[in-house]
Amino acid sequence: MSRPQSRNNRRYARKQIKKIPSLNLVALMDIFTILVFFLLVNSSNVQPPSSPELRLPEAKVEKPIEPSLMIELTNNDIVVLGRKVADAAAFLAPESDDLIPGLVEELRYQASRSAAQRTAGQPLQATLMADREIPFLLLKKIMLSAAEADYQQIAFAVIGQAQDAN
Amino acid sequence: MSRRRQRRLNRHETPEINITAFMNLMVVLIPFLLLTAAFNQLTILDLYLPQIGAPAVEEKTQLPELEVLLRADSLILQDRKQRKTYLRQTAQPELESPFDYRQLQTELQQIKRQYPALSTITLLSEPGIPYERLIAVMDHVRAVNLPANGTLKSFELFPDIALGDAPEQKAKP
Repeated sequence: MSRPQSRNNRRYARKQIKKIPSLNLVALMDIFTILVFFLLVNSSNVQPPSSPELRLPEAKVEKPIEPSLMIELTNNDIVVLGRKVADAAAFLAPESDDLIPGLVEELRYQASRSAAQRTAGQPLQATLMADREIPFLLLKKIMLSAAEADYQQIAFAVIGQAQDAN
Repeated sequence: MSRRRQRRLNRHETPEINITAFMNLMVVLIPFLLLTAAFNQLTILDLYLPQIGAPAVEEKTQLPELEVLLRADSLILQDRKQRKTYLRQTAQPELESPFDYRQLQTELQQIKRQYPALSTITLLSEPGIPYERLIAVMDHVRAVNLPANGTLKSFELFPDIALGDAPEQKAKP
């Protein structure tokens, strides 16, 4: 009397188990773990230039970029820390001023802001991200303006290339 | 041991791990890291700026003052002190790179061999030279990659690069 019932129960229990199939997630966890480490190694704390107009030149340098004041320079705008400070096109004419007033003002403000954090005698650093089409004329004005605002060390941001025989 | 018991034991051997928390973490972490990942490695080229107010370079030194003159149509490697031109190239606009940088590097290597202590060079550029060409010249003047023991090794040439304006070209008579 009791045996068929218990067999029914057992069959029912087995059906229940089959209803919840156990996914094998070991491979997924492996992939995720590898991916996380790969991305951690590749991550950088410096944001690449957001504007698609800004195409950095390429060079075979290995010195990694360090967080410092970013000056972005496209054919139209001069941008410091994401804020447009001057119109680049106005300074492309050969007879225009050597200094860019908007840029000097902004750099002076940034220098006064960071004055509390840096130790005395340490030169201020700025990194220039310029489009590859920018003529030297404009580049020189940017550097002169930066020097005017006490930014002594200027580095050019480039895209690192693989080493080859050339 | 009955077969039923054995089966139950087998089932207990692989216990289910609760990985919901792990999955939640990954789902958040991976998009975050993907956003910050640098797929093209950003690097920097340092610029050598002579200190303002620093004493001028002694005239006694025997080291030459190297200059690379970069004009729209030519590239000249010269020594300002001895008024000696090492290399003069005219631009070939039909090629991908208008100048032969490899020839420039060979010339610079010979100078470096002659004066190993020299590390400064001045790059004088005309106003219209695009940034890309400036960087290319700076990159080739800075260091050279030579094969050593089967692998490429970077050798320093003149890493302290100063920038300046090219003098006005003399009008041809």
